[in-house]
Amino acid sequence: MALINLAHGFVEVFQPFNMLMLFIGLVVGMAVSIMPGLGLVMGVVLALPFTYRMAIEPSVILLTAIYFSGTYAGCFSAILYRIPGEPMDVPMLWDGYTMARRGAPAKALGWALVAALIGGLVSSAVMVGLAGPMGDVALKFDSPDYFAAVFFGLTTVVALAGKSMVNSLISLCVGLLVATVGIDSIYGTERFAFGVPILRDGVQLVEVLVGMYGLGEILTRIGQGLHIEQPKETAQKVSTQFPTLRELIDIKVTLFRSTVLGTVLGVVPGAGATITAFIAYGIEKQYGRRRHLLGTGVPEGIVAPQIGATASVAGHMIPLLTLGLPGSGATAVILAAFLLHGVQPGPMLFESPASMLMVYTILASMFASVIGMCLLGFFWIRVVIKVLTIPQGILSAIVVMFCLVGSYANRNSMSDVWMIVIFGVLGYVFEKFKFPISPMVLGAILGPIGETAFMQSMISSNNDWTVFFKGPISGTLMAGSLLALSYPVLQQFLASRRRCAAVA
Amino acid sequence: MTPGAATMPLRRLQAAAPYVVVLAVGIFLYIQADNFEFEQASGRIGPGAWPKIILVMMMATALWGVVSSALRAGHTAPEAVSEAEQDEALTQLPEIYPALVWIAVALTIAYLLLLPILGFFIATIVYTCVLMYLGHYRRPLRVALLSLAIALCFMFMFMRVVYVSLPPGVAPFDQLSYALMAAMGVH
Repeated sequence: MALINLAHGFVEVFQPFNMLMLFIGLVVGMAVSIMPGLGLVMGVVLALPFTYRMAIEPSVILLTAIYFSGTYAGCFSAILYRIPGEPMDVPMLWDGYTMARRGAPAKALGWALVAALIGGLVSSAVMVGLAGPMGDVALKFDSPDYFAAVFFGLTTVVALAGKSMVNSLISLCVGLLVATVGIDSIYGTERFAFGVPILRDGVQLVEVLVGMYGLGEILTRIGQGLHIEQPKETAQKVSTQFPTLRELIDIKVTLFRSTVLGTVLGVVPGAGATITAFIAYGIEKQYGRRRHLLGTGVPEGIVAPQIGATASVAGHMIPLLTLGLPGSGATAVILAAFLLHGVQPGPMLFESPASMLMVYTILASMFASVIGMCLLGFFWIRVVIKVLTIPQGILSAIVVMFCLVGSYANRNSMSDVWMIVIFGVLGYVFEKFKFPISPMVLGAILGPIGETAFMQSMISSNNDWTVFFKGPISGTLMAGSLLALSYPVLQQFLASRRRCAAVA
Repeated sequence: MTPGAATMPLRRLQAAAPYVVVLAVGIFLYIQADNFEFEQASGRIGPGAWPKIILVMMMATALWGVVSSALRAGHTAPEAVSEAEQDEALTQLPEIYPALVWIAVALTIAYLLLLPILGFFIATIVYTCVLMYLGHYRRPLRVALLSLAIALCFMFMFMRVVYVSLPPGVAPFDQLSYALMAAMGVH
C-alpha cells in the first residue's frame, strides 16, 4: 500500500512546477550551506515568503529540497578550502580536508557524495515504511499523550541544544512565553499584551523564525566583521571521483552503522544534522575498525558524518508529518509553511485520500531531492562553489531585504516587520550571551500545542497531574523526558570525574 | 592585592548579569500572570497557570545560572583548547564590531520609519547602500548600482510575481513609485 501511495507521490513530484521548485530548492540549499553565516535554516526561512501564494505540495517540496541539499553541499568548501559552511561540516575538516591536502580532493568529494546518496535514500525508504504505522499510532494519542510527546520533544531539544543546559532551558522558557502572548484560546483572556495592539493578536511564527534565524544571524555577522576565509585557489580543476565497489564494501560496517544512527537520531527531536554528524563521527572513532587512523584522511571519517547528517533529515520529517511535531529549526519552518496554508500536520493527514497523497508526494520528493542534489553536486560543483566569492556586504544586504520584505508579504502589515526587528535584536542578544536559538524557536512553535494538550488534560482529569504518567504512551514519553534531562547532568558529572582522574 | 583579585567580583557580576536580568523579567511577568482577568470556573485552572509554570521554571533556572556562573567566573585557570575545539571555532567567530550592530539596528528602524514616507523604492536604495557600506563593501559606484538593482528586483519579485503591495510613499515620492509600477505592469 505504501509503495502504491509512493508511486502516486512520484507522479505528483514529476509535475513541471513541482520539479521546478525542487530544482530551485536544491540550488538554494547548496548556495546557503556553502556560505558560512547563512546556513540551511536561513535558506528555508528566506524561501518561506515565496510559498505564500503556492499550493502546499510545491511549498513543502521547495523547503524540503533546501533542507536536504543544505546538509550536503557544505562539505565542498570544508573539503576543498577548510571553510565549514555550517557547524555540521566541521567533522569534514578532520578527514575530508586532510584527504584533499594529501592530493585526493576528488576522491574526498566522491566519498561525501556517495555517503549523502546512501544516507538520504536509505533513511527516506525507512521513513516511508514507518510513516503509515506511525500515523496509526499517532491516531490513538489523547491529550495527555500529546502533552507528553511535546514535553519529550522540548526536553530532548534542551538536552541536545548546546554546551550549557541552563542557557538552553532559559531559551526554551522564553520561546514558550512568547507563544503565550495575545488572546488565550480557552478563556479568551489577554496575556502579556500590555495594551499594545500588535501584541494582542499574538506573535506570528514567521516573525520568530525570520527574526531569530534571519535578521539576528546577520546582525551577529555584522558584529563579527562579515569576514569569511576566501578560497586560496580557484575551483577550475575541481572534480568528483567515485569510490570503487571494493572500497565501498571495505567500509560496509561504517555505512550501515552511520545510516542506522542518522535515521534513528533524526526521529529524536533536537538531534539535528549537526549533532548527528558529530555523534556519527564520535561513534566511528570509538568503534570503527580503523578508528586509530581517523583524522588522517580516511574515508570512514568522511562517510560517517555525511551519512549521519543527510539521514537525519528524513528522520525529522516523520514526526512532523505524523504528529505535527518539528524536531529541528528547518522542520519548524516547514511546519510554519503547513500552518500558513491552513494545514495542520498530524495523524489526520493519513485519514483522507487527498491529504494522504500530499504526504506521499512530500515523501517521494525526499528521494528526488537526494538524487537531484547528488547530480547537481557532481556536475555543478564548480559553479556552486563560486558562491564563496560573493562579497559578504552585498549578501547581507540582500538577506536583510528578504527578511523584511518577506515578513511584510505575509499580511501586508508593517507591524510584522517591526516584530522581525524585535526578534532580530533578541536573536543577536541570544547569540552574544551564548543562549542557543533552537530551543527558543521550538518552544514558540510547540508551546501552543503543549498548552492546549496540558489544559485539556488537566480540565478533563480534575487537575490531576498524575494523568501524564498513567497511560502507556504518555508514561513512556515522560520517562524518556526525564532521561533526556538527566543526560547532560550525567555527562557533566562523568566529564568532571575524568578531569579529576587525569589530574590525579 | 593582585589585579586579578581586584577584578574578580566584577567578573562574577558580568557573568551573572544575563541571568539576573532573566530573573527580574521572570518576577515581573509572574506578577502580571497572577493578575490575568478571567471568569473563574470552580475547580478549573485559569489562563495564568501555564505561563506561571513556565515562569517558575525560568526563574529557577536563572537562579541556578546566577550561582553557577558566579562560581565559574571565580576559577581563573585557563583550560586547554583541543584541536577539535579550534576547528569548531571556525564557525563561531568573535565579535569585533559591537557598535556596528547597533548602528545597523538604528538604520533598520530609520528605514522602517521612512518607508511609508519615501516609499519602498527610494528608502530601499538608501538603506541597502548604507548597509553594504557597514558590511565593508566600499566601492561607491558598484554600491549605488547594486542598491538600485536590489530595489528594482525586490519590487518586481514581490509586486509583480507574489502580488504584494509594497508602500509607494507619500507625495511627491509616490510619483516615482507609481511610474515604476506602471513600467513593471503592476496595477
